[in-house]
Amino acid sequence: MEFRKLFLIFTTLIIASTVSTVSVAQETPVTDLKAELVRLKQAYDSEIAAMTARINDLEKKNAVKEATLPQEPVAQSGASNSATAFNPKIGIIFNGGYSRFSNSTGHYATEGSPLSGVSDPGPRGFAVGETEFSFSANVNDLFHAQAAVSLDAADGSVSLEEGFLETLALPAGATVKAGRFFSAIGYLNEQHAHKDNFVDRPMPYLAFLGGQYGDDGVQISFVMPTDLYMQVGAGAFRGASFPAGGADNKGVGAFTGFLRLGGDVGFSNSWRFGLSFLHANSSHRVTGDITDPQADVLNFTGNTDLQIADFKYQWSPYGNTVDRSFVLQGEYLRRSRNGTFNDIPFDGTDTGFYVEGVYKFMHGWRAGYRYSALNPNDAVPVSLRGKLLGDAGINPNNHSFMIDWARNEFSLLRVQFSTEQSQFNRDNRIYLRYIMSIGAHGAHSF
Amino acid sequence: MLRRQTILLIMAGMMSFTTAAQAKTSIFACEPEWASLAKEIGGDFVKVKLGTNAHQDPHFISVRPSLIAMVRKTDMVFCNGADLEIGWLPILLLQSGNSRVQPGTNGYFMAADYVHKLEVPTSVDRALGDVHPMGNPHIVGDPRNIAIVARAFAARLAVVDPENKLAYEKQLARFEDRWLASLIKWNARAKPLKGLPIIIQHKTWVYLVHWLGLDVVSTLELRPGIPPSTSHLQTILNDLPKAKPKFIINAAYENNKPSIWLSQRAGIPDITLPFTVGGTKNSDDLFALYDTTISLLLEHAE
Repeated sequence: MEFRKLFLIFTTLIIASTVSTVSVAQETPVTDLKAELVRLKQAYDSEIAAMTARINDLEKKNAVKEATLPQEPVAQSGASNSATAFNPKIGIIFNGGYSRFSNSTGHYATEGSPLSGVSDPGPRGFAVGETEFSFSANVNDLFHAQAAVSLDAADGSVSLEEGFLETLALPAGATVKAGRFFSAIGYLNEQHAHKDNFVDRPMPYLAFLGGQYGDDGVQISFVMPTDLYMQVGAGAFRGASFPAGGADNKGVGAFTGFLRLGGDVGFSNSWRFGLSFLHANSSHRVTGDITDPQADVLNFTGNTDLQIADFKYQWSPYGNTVDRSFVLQGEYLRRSRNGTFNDIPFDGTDTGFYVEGVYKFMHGWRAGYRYSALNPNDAVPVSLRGKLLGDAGINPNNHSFMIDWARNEFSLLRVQFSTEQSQFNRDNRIYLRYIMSIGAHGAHSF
Repeated sequence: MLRRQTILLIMAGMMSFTTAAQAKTSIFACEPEWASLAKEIGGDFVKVKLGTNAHQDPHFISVRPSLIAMVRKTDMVFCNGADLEIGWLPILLLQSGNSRVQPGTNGYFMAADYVHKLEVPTSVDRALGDVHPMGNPHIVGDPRNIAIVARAFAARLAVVDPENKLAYEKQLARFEDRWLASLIKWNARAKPLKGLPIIIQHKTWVYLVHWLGLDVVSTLELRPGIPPSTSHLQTILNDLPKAKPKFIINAAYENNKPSIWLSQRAGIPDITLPFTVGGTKNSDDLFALYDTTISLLLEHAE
């Protein structure tokens, strides 16, 4: 285009100078000059037309060239030297807030839950929760590794929440996970708590799994080559953490299995359904706060069998969850224990469930309700009454309401009201929470 | 009891895997534009499954179980790349258990790896919103990118399925001929759009703007991914007499409330462009996508 402009200016100049030279040099009649000018103009016009045609042709050719020439893959920006280029993805999750509870005794015990640490609803007032550091990267073409290290603000301890490798290149849709990780039983168990819809875990998770079952072990799973999503898997674990304990059987004390199905109904509706089990051996598993004289310390040796059925349903207009969505999710847990508590024989089954619905009503804003309940075993031996469960005649239950706001996927502010009946007095709780993440962009599973 | 059932299920699954014969090369496309291109190049030799639709924001996709099932069986994933799918594709690939489509394999094809990216930031900070360190990923805005990706994809497809290499080359040549003819036609039609002052809602349009030489006078989303505040919209409204934009554009998948807000107060039209194949009517394939985009823009350019 520039060339054409220049050309026009140039030709105009030539015409102008020719005309002026002519007028100065010779005293020819005006009509002759006019005729000469017309002739010159016509000559240049045809030349300009020819040039323009050539330019258009060239432009066309250039467009073709530009459109078809494959360019070299563009170098990816980021790390500027090779030493840092292979740094893993690093993310840090901050969470904390303020809590207020109506129960003033400070002593918490949930019927059906022998754990004191998880049945209390956390510290009162202002408190920072766990700060989690996550690292992940492909090790090579065969393995992917991931770690989540958490700093517990309450006691300053550092713990390896997860640290595992995952295979990338096994055939038949198989994946093997090895190391320390959260088992794939249930729905919530595998999920990190900062991704939960509510501040606290539902009652059956607190009572039967201590919030979440993670252990050292290995897990294999297969995604089936079916149109319907279908995944089966099994795991073997050390059995060091609740509901196992004591790393029984030479350090192989817990086994899991799971089946997951899922699919869509149109683009707007998605569902997932799962069945899973956990079999755990315990050898002298101690639960309860041994420093609290009021708490019931229990020593369990025996088997725990847990079966879980879980489902999740999600709706969003055309599958677009940015502005509106609805999630309905629930799990049913059944636990049987067979063994001895403080050397007294015990055989009993408890159940529990939760159902929650979360509605995203506009960009960034969600509101949710959750109901969870436990149905403890009533047949508790007389000598264990007051220490274990089922003797108080209470079926613990909890109603929770929450509303949260996310500026984008990296920050979340939440308010939650809960009313819980786990003892004789109902406990009303208010939570204010923040959850922030910095660093690598996390990816979320369904 | 449960454990025995699990073992039976695993065995059943293994058997169905070994007997499953795959005649066609199957391709999982992350976005509609790449599904459409895969069909153009692959023709009858491929089976294309599309994971999202034109009404979904490609930044935010739930890793639905159905997607895992699709990726599990696919020979190739054809996605946008440049971190557009960073919030969901990595976990989808990990969960699929499919070794053929992991990053670094031939089955992992990212379109944006082959084109020159615009707006590559020299520094990034999340205070600026959802910025992409690798550059703006919305390369579908410029049809010249499609031609570049087509050639790279055809070459890769021939590696994944060498038996049909000749067919893919032939189909690519045919597609390129038609594409270039269309490109010349689009360039000619779009001439009046050059230098036209417009407002965009999200930075979805940088490649389209670059191609057509449009003049973006304002962007409604000050920080990408975060809805604009009313005060920011008011500022834009106040600056209107100076900038004199002709219209506001937004993508079919975007919530166009901010555009409508401004459109009503400023008295300039709000145009919803398809952005990708299937976003609006008459955008059922890649050719129709750009035909319709230019028609919609021309309609309001006067």
